[in-house]
Amino acid sequence: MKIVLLIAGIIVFGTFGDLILSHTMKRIGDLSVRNARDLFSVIGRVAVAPGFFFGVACMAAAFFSLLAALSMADVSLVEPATSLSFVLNTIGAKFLLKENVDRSRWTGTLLITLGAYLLFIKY
Amino acid sequence: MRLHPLVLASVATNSMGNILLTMAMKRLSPSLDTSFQARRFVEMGLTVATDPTFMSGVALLATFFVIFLTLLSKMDLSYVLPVTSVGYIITAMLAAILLGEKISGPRWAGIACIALGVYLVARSEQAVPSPAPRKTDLQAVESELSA
Repeated sequence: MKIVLLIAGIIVFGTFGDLILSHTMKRIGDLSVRNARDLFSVIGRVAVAPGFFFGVACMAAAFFSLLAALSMADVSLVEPATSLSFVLNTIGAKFLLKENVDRSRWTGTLLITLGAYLLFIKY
Repeated sequence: MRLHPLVLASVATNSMGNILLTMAMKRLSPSLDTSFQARRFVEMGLTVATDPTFMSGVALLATFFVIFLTLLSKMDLSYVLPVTSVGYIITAMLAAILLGEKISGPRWAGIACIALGVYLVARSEQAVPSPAPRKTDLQAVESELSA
């Protein structure tokens, strides 16, 4: 039961982290760096965005759930289960970020989910 | 199929970072275990922080994160995430070559599925917004002057 919660934690925190970071980085906008002043301006704009810290906190929570799950179960159980996060991310991108996900992108995402599952499952 | 150069850079830094960390952790784990049992946590920190392989791995993963954020600022999440999964293939290949891990039949099937999936996502419409026309140096100077 604990392992199920941890895997759910990896998927949910990871997906929210990606969604929040994507939303935040698009709001920050132009990140092109041509000189040292641009670099400081970019770092400054990213560092004051609350979404950046929420996103990184979610990624950190996903990472620690992963470490805890790996200390309890095999990679061949944990990694295939987390391949579901590709699907969850695309659903979130479509409905929360309003991205245009066409049929080709959906088919590709499902194939990658299956591929990641096959890559890590134990036979 | 055309992949954005930053996608390739993110995949390369991520895979190589993971490989270097794996190599470092496999080599360091006996001494880390000893320190952990003796509760010498500072010693553990020093062991990893002074290991060139470990620190190179961390530096590459940090670089990966910066590139990943840059990608997210320009492109759809539903494009960036699937496309960067080509890294699974690179990592599996590097692990086979550098760490001597075996690639079984089903894993080859997984690699094929991922390759086909990445191809489909990469050719999906509006994946990469067309780049803004580049200003020539002369035009850039002119707009600086008029501003």
